[in-house]
Amino acid sequence: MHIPDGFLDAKVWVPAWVVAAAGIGVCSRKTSRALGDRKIPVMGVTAAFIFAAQMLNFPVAGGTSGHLLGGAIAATLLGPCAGFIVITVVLIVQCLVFQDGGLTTLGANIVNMALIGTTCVYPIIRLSSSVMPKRGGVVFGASLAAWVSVVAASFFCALELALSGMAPITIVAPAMVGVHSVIGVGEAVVTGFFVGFLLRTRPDLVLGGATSGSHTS
Amino acid sequence: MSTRKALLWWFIVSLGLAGFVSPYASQLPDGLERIARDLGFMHRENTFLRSPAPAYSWQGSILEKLPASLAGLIGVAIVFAMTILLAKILTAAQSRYRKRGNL
Repeated sequence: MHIPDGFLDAKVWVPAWVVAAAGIGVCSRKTSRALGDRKIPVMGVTAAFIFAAQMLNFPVAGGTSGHLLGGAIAATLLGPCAGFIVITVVLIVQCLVFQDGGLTTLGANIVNMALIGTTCVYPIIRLSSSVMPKRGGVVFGASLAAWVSVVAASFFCALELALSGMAPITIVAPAMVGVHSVIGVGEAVVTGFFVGFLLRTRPDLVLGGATSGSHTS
Repeated sequence: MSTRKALLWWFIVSLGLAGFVSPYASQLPDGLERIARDLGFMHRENTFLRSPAPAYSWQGSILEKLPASLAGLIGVAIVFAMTILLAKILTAAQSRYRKRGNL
């Protein structure tokens, strides 16, 4: 869902950059307050893993492929702000080094996949893990957040395309949301398995070690 | 297993995915590309920036001779290094802030 240069009009990508920059500012501040030295390597490896996972396109129905976005994984492991920073770094490297996503549209891609795809779905994870404090609650919350993150990001992407005059919203929104509600199932399954695996093996790495039965070693 | 060792393993797995699994990933267009083609606005794509490795391959760049899997490996290394650097800058800014007694 990385929007290339040329797909968005300046009246869309300029405000998107402003929102993205505000997100980077707020999240940097919050992360610098909350981040302990112990968390730094976790952030680095999470970013490396999500970059790698985003290269793995899997086929979905109708000659289309999708890949993991990783927003829900980042949010579950690092929280809404450090998670946002991690996905933003991934998007910046993809744009600058691999031309995956445009430079003018990088702001919109940060809004869609980092801000909406990570920070905005974090409450789902938090709520689910507080209603169901056992491992299942975290896994369910992360999976649901994963699906919502992909579908919501695709809706905002469609909205930006429509506002740029690429296609009418009544056509592009159902098309984008339709395809991505299938891709989102892949995201939810991978996220669920991954978070479940981490909770069993390294619970200290999930939600800052705040989950029940967790212990640091 | 110590946290350090677990993270090291996780990093090695990431390198493996990017370097050796990604060449087998689906080459089909992604959701956005597919819709851009179907709705006829794919031709609007342009580029304001020439990257060293567009679409994760060195094709056509000065690095063409390098094996394709290297793109993924280098990408993982860059993302890792950039995130660590950024996180260190953020925590350093915070400890300076604390020392000034502003908290």
